[in-house]
Amino acid sequence: MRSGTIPKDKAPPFGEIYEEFRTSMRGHAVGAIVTFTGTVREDAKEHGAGATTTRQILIEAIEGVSSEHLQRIAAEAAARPGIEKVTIVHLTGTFEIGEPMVHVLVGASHRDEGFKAIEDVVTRYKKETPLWKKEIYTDGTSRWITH
Amino acid sequence: MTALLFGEACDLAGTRSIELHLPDGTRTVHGLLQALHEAAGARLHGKVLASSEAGGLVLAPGYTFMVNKRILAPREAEDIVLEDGGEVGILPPFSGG
Repeated sequence: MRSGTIPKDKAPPFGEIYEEFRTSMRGHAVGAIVTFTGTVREDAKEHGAGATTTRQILIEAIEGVSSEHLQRIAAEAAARPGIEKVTIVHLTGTFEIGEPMVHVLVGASHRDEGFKAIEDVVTRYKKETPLWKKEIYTDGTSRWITH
Repeated sequence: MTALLFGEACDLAGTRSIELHLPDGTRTVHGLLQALHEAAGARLHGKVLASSEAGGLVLAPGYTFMVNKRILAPREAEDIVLEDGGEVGILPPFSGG
C-alpha cells in the first residue's frame, strides 16, 4: 500500500497492510520490520472548572496534499543506509478509544536502523504533514491539539 | 479569491471556505488577511489572525498558508501575487495522530 491518508472506513486492516508490506520486500536484504501504530488514548483532562476524559478523536487532512507529504517523508527515510522500505498510512475521520489512527512500517537491514528510522519518521510526520487532530470529550466539549 | 480553512480555523469560522474580493493591487497574503478580517474577523481574531507590532494583520503563531498546494510560512508567502479566482489555504499548526 502506498503511503498517504485514507478515510477510516476505506482502510484495510493492519494485518493486510503488514502482509503486503512484508511480501513486497521478499528477496531484499531485510532482517527487521519495525511497525508503529498510533491509537486513541483515553485521557483525563483538566477542563475549565472540572475534569473530563477523551471520548473520540477527529483527524482531518487535505486531500492529496497530506498524502504527498507522507510519501515524501517515507521516500526520504527509505533512502537512508540500511532502510529498504517505509510506508506511512494515516487514517482520517472520527475514531473511538483504542482505534488505530496511523500505521508506520519500516523494513530495515537490522533492528537498530529500523528503530531509529521509525522514531524519526513519526517525529517528522507529526510536525511536517498537514493533519489536524481534535479531541472530543465525554462532557461534550472539544479541543484542537497542537504538538 | 477563496480562503480555505482547516482544523480549528474551519470550526471558528463555521465554514470551510470564504469568498473574498481582493481589488487589483491587493492580491497578496496581506490583502487576503485584511479581507478575511473584514469577512470573519470577529470569529477569527486572536486565534487565527493576530495584530502585528506594526499594526497590521498577521497569521497567529504556527499558522501557515497554502498557495497552489504549496505550504508556505508567512514570510515565504509575503511577496507572492495571488491569482485572481484562486484558493489560499489557512492552515493551523499540524498535529498528526
